[in-house]
Order: sequence, then C-alpha cells, then structure tokens
Amino acid sequence: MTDNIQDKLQKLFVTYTQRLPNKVRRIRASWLDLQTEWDKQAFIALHRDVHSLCGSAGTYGYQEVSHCARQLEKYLKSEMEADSPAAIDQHYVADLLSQLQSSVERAIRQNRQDMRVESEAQVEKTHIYLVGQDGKLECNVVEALKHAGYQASGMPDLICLETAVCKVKPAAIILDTDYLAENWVGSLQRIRKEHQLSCPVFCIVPNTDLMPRLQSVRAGCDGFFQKPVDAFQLTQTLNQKLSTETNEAWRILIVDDSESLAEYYSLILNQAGMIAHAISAPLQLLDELAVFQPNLILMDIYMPGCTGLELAAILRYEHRYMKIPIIFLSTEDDRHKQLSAMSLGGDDFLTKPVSPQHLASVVRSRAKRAGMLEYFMTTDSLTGLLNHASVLCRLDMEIVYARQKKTPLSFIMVDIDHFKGVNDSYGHPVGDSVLRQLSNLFLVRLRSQDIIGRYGGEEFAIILPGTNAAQCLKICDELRQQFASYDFNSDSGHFSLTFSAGFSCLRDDNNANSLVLEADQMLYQAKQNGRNRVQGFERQPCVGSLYFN
Amino acid sequence: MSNKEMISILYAEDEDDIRSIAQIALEDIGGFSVTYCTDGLKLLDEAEGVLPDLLLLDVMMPIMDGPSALRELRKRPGYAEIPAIFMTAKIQPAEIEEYKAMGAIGVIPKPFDPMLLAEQLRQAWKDHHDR
Repeated sequence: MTDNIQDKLQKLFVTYTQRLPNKVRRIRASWLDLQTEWDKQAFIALHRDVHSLCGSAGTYGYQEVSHCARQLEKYLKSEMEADSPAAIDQHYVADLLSQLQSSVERAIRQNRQDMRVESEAQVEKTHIYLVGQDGKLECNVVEALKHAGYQASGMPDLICLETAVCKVKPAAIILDTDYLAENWVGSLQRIRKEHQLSCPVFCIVPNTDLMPRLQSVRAGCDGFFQKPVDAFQLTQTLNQKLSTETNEAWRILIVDDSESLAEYYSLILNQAGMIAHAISAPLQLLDELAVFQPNLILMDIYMPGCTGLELAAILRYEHRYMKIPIIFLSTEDDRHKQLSAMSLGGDDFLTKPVSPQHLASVVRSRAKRAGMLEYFMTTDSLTGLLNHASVLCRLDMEIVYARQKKTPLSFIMVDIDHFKGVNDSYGHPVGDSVLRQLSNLFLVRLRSQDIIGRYGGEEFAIILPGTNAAQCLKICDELRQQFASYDFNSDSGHFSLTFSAGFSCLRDDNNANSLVLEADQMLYQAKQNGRNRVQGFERQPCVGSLYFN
Repeated sequence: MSNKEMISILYAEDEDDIRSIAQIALEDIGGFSVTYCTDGLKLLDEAEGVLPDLLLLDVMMPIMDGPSALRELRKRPGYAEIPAIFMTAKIQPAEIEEYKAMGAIGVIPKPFDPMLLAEQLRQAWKDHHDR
C-alpha cells in the first residue's frame, strides 16, 4: 500500500474521530426532544442516525461503539410501531444511550493513548523480555533465543520491564511464577494495559505441581515452561506461538445446499475476521478443497445428492484431508443421531438456528486447535524443522511455483559425517544437541523463504527457491565451513564435526522424485570422495560428435 | 464465462463518513471509476443514460432504499442484467434470498474493512462470471 493511501485513511480517521462525540450528542438530543414532543418522523430519523452510527463506527475501527449502537438500534426498530413515548421503555433506552456515550469516551481516550504509545514505542518482532530469572538460566535462554534469531534481554524485575516496554514493545515476555503472586499480578496487568501490550506472556513454573500452572492460567499467561528449562524447547514453543499468533485468518469452507444460508454463514465468519467460502453443490466439494485449501469445513447434514455424513466419510478416507476438522450443522436435535454423526468423522455438531456469535466462536476455536495440531504434525519434535513428509510436500509445491515463475530452485541433502560415533562415544543427549545446533545454524543463516527439514536421523533436506547451482554451491559450502568450525562440548571432552552435502537443481527434465534422487547420489559421491565436501549434480555430458570435436 | 472487466461503479450511500472511506477503498485501492449518490432517488437520476459495470447499493437509505431503487432500475433498458451488490449492517437469511432474486451477486456486511472492499467486489464479480 502506498503512503498516500495510508495518509488519506489517517486523515479520514482523525476527522471521523473528531465528529464522533457530536454524533452521539445529536442522538441524545433528539431522544430528549422526542420525550417532550412525540413525532413519528423524528423517531424514524433517530433510528436511522443510530443505524448509521453502527455501520460507520465499525468501519472506522470503533467496534465497541458500533456494538452499543447496534443494541440501541435493534430496540428502536422493535418499537417502530410505537405512537407515543409511553410505549417505549425509557429506562432501557436511557441506559443504552449512556452505554453508548461511555463507549465513545473510552474509544477516544484509548485512541489518544494509542497514538501516544505508537509514537513512543514500536513493537519489535524479534525482542523477547525475560524477567526475574537467575543468572545461569537467563544466560542459557538468552543464548538459545539468540541462535534462533531473537533478541532477548534479561531484566531483574517488573520496574525494569516497564522502562523497557516504554522504549520497545517486545514480541513476548517470559516471567517467573513469583510475579504471579497476588501483590505482583496487579502490577503486571497494569503494565500490560497501560502500555497496550498485546504480546503473549509466558511463565516459568518451578516444578510439576498443578498450582503454579493454575496461577499462570488465571493470570492470563499464554503458556508456561517448567524448570529445569529446556532452552531449546522454549525457543520452539515461542516460534510456534508467535507464528500462529499472527496467522489467524482461518480459511473456512461452507457446504450447504441452501445458497442463502451458505452465504449467511460466510458473511458472519467474514465479519469475524475469517476467510469463508461457500458452496451449495456438495458434489463440488473435492474440487473446492484442492483449490481453496480450507482449515475447517462447516457442513449441512441433509443435502440433496449426497449427505454431509457421506461426504465426511469420504474425506476421512483421503489421507490428505483426514486432518481437516468438520463441523456439522443441522436441525437435528436428537442427541443420539448427533453422536452417530460425529462417529462418522465429524468434530462438532451445531443445531440450527445458530447464533452468529456462537457460530464464529465454535469455528474459530476448532480451527485454532487444528492449526496447532497441524504444526505438530508437520514439525520434527527434536529440531523444530519440518519433518520428512512435509519437506517433500513443500518440495512439490515449490517446484510448481518455480515452474510457473520460471525461476531456479535447488535441493540439498546434508548428512553429518561419522555421526554414529558421536552417539557411541558421548551419548545420545550430546548427539541430539549436535542435531539442534546444526538446525539452528540453518535457521539463522538461511533466508526465511528457504525450507529446511530433518529428513531422518542425521540427514537434512533444504529447498532453496530462486537459487541456481552456483549460488547453491556457495551457500552450502559456507554452511559446511561454519559447521566444521563449531566446537562441541561434552563431559568427556571437546570435539568437532563435519558434514557432507549433495545438491541438484530443477531443470525441464527432472521432477521432485528425480531431484531428490540426484541430490542423494551427489551426497553419496561426496561421502565416497572423502566427506566434508559439497557435490553438485551435473547432467552427464552426452557422448556424441560434439563432445569429441 | 466472460472476461469482462469491472471498471465503472455506480454507488449509492447516504452517509458521508462511509462514502469518503469507500472512496479511498474503491478509487485509490481498487482503481475503479466511481459515481456517487446519496440516496435511491438520486441513483435513479444518475443512472439516466449511463450503464455502469456494477451497482453498489447501501440497503438502508432515506427517501428511497437500495432494494427499491434496484427494483426500479431493473425495469429500465440495459439495467436488467447489471450485477448489483448490497451493503448492509443487518444480515438476515431471508433478505439475502430476496436480494438474490433481484439479481444481486453479493452482499457486503457493514462494517467493512476498507483495505479489503475492492477485493471483495472483485471476488463477487469473478464468482458471478465463472458461474
């Protein structure tokens, strides 16, 4: 978006905000007039003013004002036939009006604060604040976060935290349970509120007891880590939380044979910030799934041609669609039938008519949960990288993309040399830590569009989109040198390691399978040629006249 | 399926605040050429002698509301087939049915997101022409 548009929007926003109190004043004034002198036309005009306020306030981002106006609007509409003020519940309207008034005041106050804070502190996506941890733990965590590309700072207490958030708002805060005791939790909440911190807060709990966990949940924490803190697991959790946090525009596919109902649901979900798409022909489902790639399916049970239950059963047979949650919608209120519907592959059951709020909230929480499961299903638990299956799946997608855009693509296989020896001589925990450090090296050194996976054991697969053979060789060799310079520590002494790598690039005459095969052959050759080297695939020169000339 | 591009929009909305933010959304972000009017009756005047690609109508307006204006327009030559999209703060399944029957290709809920409005219109336009 250009700055110009942003400027224009900002100007409009400011003007609207200035006019907002006046609008409410006018509404209150016409309500007072109506009480002294009843006039049907004036009542209709009042209703329209409230209606407009409801629409415009929401569009300008004042959701709460819009919500209050909507309630008043609904009531006025229901009393449209009234021909005297006596028929109207005066107290109720007065009450709604004062709610509206205070929502406007709150919004404007909030808005002033927003602007002030916005100019003072910027949210920094890589900053993590760690509060009140002892030296060693702090050191470990800060170091681990640094490796994963975060900038973590330790601070002794909440006062320092407050000073820090005034300057830079972090992406996450990590606290000790001490700060969740009653005398502290108030200060924490005040800091979060006053400085408009929307970032997740995590808590470090001392042991396996339930109480500190309960405390952290009650204090509104987004997650906790248990002592002794595994710095790597902490980094991974942060990666996961911070990535799903920003990715909340769930894609919802609605299947309902009633076109207008399907559209109604899709409007409600769109209004709730999701991306909804409705189809009314159940037989289109498979085509739509492939194109739209939904996170969740909302489906009517009774449809002509084929029922929702049958469709669910079909999806549950298809490996790639097995994990998409399905919510059934139906007028069926027989609990027994509902349960049997769930046994066929549904995840939830909503009885029509369903209120918009209820629909949006059920869909959102189901989609969110599925998103988390998806993360764990596609991620290797030791390294936090993609697992074998997902890296191959991404390779297919990236190849399609590269062919469309006519850009190069390289695929690398990496294998740590003599890794078995590490496990044998130093033990598996040390071996695991080597794997994590190599993963971190990849994560830190490669670009965000590069795709890194743990292919198996000590083998890694890397996809470099937009990268040709020469660039790939250079990048890969730098990684190799860097890894060879690492000094690993164990109880039985220091050691260093190397890796071998093979790669191949996308051409007109290869595909995902052959690309993997070629890289694998090159890896084998690198090992044969003495290890600690990178070998790239080149097409065999054809033995023909040209070659001999 | 037609490849007709959507360029001109005839838009009726009574509220200044909404019109001005929609102007940015439609012209600056969407790149459409838009003619504005403030109620259904003015829309009927404005529609005299021009054929826009799309009608964008607020449902609730003083003097003449969106649906009544569309019903009138449909009687005019050339206006029988022009796709219309309604904007409304109240979404009722029965009303959606009614709008569809009048040849509406979509309903945009209010409040709307100015950054996405143009895209929503294009999507409705595409779905309509792909059908």
